[in-house]
Amino acid sequence: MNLGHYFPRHITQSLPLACLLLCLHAFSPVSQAQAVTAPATIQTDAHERFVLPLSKLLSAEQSITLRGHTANIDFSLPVPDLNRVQHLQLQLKGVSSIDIGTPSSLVVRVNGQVQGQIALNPHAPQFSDSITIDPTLLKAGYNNITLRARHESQEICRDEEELWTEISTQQSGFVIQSERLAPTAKLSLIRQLLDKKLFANDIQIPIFSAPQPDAKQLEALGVIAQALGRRMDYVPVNIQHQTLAATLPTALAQLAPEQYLGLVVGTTAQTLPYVEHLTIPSGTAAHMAMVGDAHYPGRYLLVLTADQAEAQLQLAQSLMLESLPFEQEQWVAVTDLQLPSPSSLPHYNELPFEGQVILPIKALGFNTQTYTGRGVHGPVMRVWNNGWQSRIQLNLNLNYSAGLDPQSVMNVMANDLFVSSVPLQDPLGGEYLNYKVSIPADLLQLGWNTIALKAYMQPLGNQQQCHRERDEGLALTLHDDSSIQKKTGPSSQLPDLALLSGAGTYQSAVSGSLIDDVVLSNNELPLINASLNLLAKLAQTNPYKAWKLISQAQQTPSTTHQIWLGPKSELPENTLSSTSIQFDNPVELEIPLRSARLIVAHERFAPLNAINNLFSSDKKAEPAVGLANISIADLAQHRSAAWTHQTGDNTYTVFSADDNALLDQGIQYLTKPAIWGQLRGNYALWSTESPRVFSISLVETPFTSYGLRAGVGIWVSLHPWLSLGILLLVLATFVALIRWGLRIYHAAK
Amino acid sequence: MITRTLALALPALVFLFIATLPARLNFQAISASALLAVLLILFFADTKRQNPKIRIAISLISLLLSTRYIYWRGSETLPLEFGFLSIILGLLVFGAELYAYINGVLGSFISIQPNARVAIPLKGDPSSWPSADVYIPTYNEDPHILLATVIAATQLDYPKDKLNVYVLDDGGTAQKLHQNDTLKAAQALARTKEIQLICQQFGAHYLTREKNEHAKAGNMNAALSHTQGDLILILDCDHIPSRDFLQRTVGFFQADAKLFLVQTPHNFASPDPLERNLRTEGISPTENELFYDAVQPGLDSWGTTFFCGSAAVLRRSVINELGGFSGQTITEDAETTLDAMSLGYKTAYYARPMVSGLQPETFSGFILQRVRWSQGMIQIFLLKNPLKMPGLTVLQKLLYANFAFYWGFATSRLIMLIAPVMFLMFSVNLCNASPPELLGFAIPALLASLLHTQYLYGQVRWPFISQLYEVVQSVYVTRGLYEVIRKPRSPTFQVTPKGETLSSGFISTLAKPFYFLLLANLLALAHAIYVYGQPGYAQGAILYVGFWALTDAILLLCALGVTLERPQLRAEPRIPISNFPITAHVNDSSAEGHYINASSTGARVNVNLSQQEHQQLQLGMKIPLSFTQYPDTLPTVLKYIGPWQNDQATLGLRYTLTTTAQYRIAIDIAFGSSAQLSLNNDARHKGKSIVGSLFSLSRWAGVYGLAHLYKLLIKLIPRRPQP
Repeated sequence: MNLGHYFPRHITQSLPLACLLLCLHAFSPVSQAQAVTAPATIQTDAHERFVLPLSKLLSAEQSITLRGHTANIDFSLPVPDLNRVQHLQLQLKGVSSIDIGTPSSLVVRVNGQVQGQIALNPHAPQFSDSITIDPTLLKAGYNNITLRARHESQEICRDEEELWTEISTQQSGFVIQSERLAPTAKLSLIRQLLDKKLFANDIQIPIFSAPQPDAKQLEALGVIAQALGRRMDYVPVNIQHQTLAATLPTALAQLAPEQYLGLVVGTTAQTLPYVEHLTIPSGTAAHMAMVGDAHYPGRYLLVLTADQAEAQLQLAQSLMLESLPFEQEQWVAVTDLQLPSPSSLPHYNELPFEGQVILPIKALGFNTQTYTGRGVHGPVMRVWNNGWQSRIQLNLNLNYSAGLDPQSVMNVMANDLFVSSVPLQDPLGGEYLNYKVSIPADLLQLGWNTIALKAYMQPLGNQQQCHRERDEGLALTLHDDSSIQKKTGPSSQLPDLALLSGAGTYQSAVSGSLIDDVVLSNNELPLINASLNLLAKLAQTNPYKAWKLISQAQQTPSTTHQIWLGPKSELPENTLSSTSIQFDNPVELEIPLRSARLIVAHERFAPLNAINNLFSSDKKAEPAVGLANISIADLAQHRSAAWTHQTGDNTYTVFSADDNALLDQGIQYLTKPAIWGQLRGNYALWSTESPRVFSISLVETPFTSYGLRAGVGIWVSLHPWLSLGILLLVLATFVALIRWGLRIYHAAK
Repeated sequence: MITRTLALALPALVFLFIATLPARLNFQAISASALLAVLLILFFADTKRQNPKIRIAISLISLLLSTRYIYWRGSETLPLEFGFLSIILGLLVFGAELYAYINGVLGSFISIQPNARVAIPLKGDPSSWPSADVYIPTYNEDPHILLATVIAATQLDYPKDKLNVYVLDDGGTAQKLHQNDTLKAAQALARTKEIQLICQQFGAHYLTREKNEHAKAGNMNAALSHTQGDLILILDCDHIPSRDFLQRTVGFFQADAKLFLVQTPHNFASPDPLERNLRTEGISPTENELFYDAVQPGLDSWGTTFFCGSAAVLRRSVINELGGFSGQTITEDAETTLDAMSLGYKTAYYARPMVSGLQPETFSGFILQRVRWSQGMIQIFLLKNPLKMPGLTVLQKLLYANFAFYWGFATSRLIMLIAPVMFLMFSVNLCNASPPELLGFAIPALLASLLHTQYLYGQVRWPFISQLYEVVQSVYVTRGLYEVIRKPRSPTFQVTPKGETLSSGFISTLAKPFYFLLLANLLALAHAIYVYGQPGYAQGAILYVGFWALTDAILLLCALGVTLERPQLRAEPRIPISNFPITAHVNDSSAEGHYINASSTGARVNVNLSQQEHQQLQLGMKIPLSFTQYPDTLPTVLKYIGPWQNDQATLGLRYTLTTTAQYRIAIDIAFGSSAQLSLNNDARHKGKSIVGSLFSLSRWAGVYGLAHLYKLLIKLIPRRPQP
């Protein structure tokens, strides 16, 4: 096998993490020892029971509604590779409209096979039923589930809007009983053990390492945490950092019942008890191995061994690879891993995006789709906006069928406000190529914005008549090569915690580098644990970004954006700028009331930016700050806090609590899905006992950055008539002034 | 100095602050509507256009609305996201609009308080008055054109011992007389002899030189060594002066020792091609009246009047100090003024028409003249940049630079003719704005600009006529500008052809570009109508740009009307004469009457006749005219007999002049009175409403434009061979 040719192509094709790894020079098994000739998968005795509510599978918090004569919803049921489903039941609870006729039904299909149906009765609209599904229909991976409602109408022309079935997503779901498989230990298990197709709500992974890691070890741990986060994609990762156990069985015994994988990071001497049965040649600089024990079926340890600090880091980085070469081996040696420099990495365009970019809506996750039937259809897209006075232009490519009434339209909504209509008025059908819809600045807000395309299709002819067959002929296809284009105005400069939690552009808004420092105020285990969990979460929500984990005591941070973790008492002064947080009850914050900052407008015409820069000597001015005390009385114990601020060119984001243990608890709690999404603003406070995150934001307003001129602009917009009167007076004064000036000029002549 | 700078800068900053204030569209709509209403009230409140406060207020309101518009265009609407073509054309359109805006700002500034000078009577004994030389440079013009000018110059109301008239003949140089082409040499010799005879007969001096170097400036510089007058009156050979020219201008020189120049209007007795071919002669103000009646008085108020090559008196000592007339460029007049001003000398403008000149008869002659002017002004800017010239005030620098900047109108107009086509035909986005925004910003600015222009210049320029002049010059002046910018020293002095006669009508060869532009606009309009209402096309934008294209199409049709040359049989234009009594001797009886119009060779008169006397009139009969003012009679021959009405009849007479005195009387009657010239101009200064002007444009487009196309069609259809 020619490795030199194989690896670059392999990596390019398979890695979304190309920003970190572009080139792997050598990654080889030193020996073919311990090759497993046949997959020896055994079943464990573990029988697990899971309940998966539909709210989790459908991302719908409360309920879903199936409306019309026929309506269906499709979704996927993920089945982990290492679980064999033994029993599966779908419980459905909901309510139907009393306007439906009989027979109406709700049919359940699994991978195309009908598995049962529920009769919908208008006289007993509430329904609660369970359908048992044949587990042999399920395959490892994603299984297609279809819920199809068929509503008969009591009257011939009953309005479709009144024919509906609503299913509670909280109270409906799958009850799964499965058996855990225990294949022979080999490296390919990394993929199966770190599988985002998970029945559980999160994955728990212990990491065993030396109690006091040095700088390189710490950095390696940080990379491992990010690798775990990325491999698990959106699934919450709960990392517990533990000190090395003495033997392999001891370590496996330390795994909790729901833990199937642990990581061991150490030197040859430290990991020898774990891998001594593998006959790894002595002198192998760095290697990774998957090990298990017959006494603990289904539990594994991934052992990363390196004596040199640099090699440790390389091992951690190799874990970033989605799939490893020589996966069928139990161990491989990793040497001379070559990585590109961050500056050589290509620029990634993603949404949310920075600057003036045009992208297909496919980049927003939308695929070409056809909408049929009368009623309201269309996608909803989320777009990040980090600029005041930004505008968005949609260039829509769509075609629609013949037979649409001229009143049919596709409305474009921005943040639930109407923007424009695309007429679907040609009865012979039609198509649009680059139909332009401009969304003005005042309909967009800073941060996330929703852009919805809603097609209202009506059949041609008498609307009072009911011809269902005609409705099914109504069709509109929106193509995913339609594009979205953002026209920037001045960018928001204030950092915001939402930029960390909101999947996005904090790095492009406030920092230009691809790798930022995460700094620990001390080297204690709980704080390391906290940082690993935070890094795993950050890696999931910011896919094109990397962090370097360092300790304040060992290394000085150098990046312009730094994330600090530690008790407040240990944090340096510049990270606390204008912020004073007391963790007593009630909590007192000193926060800036108003921040005035000179924003350099980003002109569309690049040379103008250069001219602006010439005259913008004051662009590094510090914010003008006022202070206020805020009491939040209902925060209970176990509080943690986060804040972010910019001082000079540097942006500091800080996670803090009274002590390391509290911060560890706080971060673990914060990284839970429902909590992490609440992290926003300039200051955030949360307690492990409260489901809420309290946030305080400095509100930037569009015109504050312009100072007096725009302030007056707002005022005149609000008081047009009074302003007009003043304007006329000013003009009259000008007339008098000019007359006076001319008299003086001519007298002087 | 600091106080003055602050006094200027502070209000300007406040004004800019207001004009660029970001505000919602509702405020823009409310304020723009209200300001327009105020502007309209002021417009109708000052019908005489003499209230300085209202003039300033109207200028300010218009300036405010147009500044808001141009700021909005520049900051909000540039189409920089729709591809390369859109960027280029969008920037060009914006550049054209910006140009119009800057021109408008400078125009407002110039016209804020025009200077209306009154003549300063000559002081002291006539023997102490400065001596005056009259220079009449000529090159290849017909001696008959020169004749009237020489006669009028020699009978200027000024002490004879202080007045010398010089004909500076560049057509009679040794170089011309001995050129290789013997036929041309013979023609030059004959012409020279004829001019020498005229000079000899009417008391003028004939001067010529060896070689034709440095064109008109060289010709005049050559004359300087032969003349000694304190003042020099320069007259183009077709500029016939009125009697009182020196009486009304020399006083300014006595009053101000630093005065270098007194410029007076170039008053034309004949129509230019636009007036002639669209039949507006005698009804509409002539093109130059905008400049001489509105712009020059404004320039004079800022001390930046400039020499226009003729009808001006210059101080000889300053010319000597300069080392002669400047001749680096082809507009020696403006160049000389610039040099004199840089030495600290002043200029003045006296707005009374005191010459009667000829316009170029053909469209090609007109274009030749305008291209020369434009190239000359750009030459001055490139070779003698006023902005860098020492000794000039900031205002003088700015306004002199503006003279070059002014000629950008041609390119700007050309862009405006092409832009709607690009949008309507090829969907090239030129302005990234919505119809409500256009309504809020563009329409108020446009209306205010129209009203403002109508207020300032309405009496001397009908609405939209400027646009028409711009359209007809756009292509050729743009080409001329390109040439001069490419090679600043390449243009040479081209004499404007004058006094031509056109025996039959024809299509000017310069009409071709307008066919293409018209066709493009018409196709764009047709396409706009076709796609209007179709899905995917913004109706508001199509309406707006469609109206723009329609306006362009009308202007282009009018331009075609201008390029359809009408026959011109009379080489000499007639001057309307009022209140000039005569006694006509018809068949041994005398009939009282008065002049209707006159030229140097004939007249139309109105005489009191009985019906019997009228019936006895016969074409070709001799009818001498006698006057109370003159001892001699003028012999005439009857060429036209009008109908008899109310004991009166109109007669067309042709002079049969034989004596010097008779020639002098004929010239004096037709051109001698500047009061008459003023009266004639005033009769054309009634103005026209915007709607009326739009109607006229449409009529010209429909009548003369289509006549042009019809004639073109006839020309293109191959004729059957005659049997």
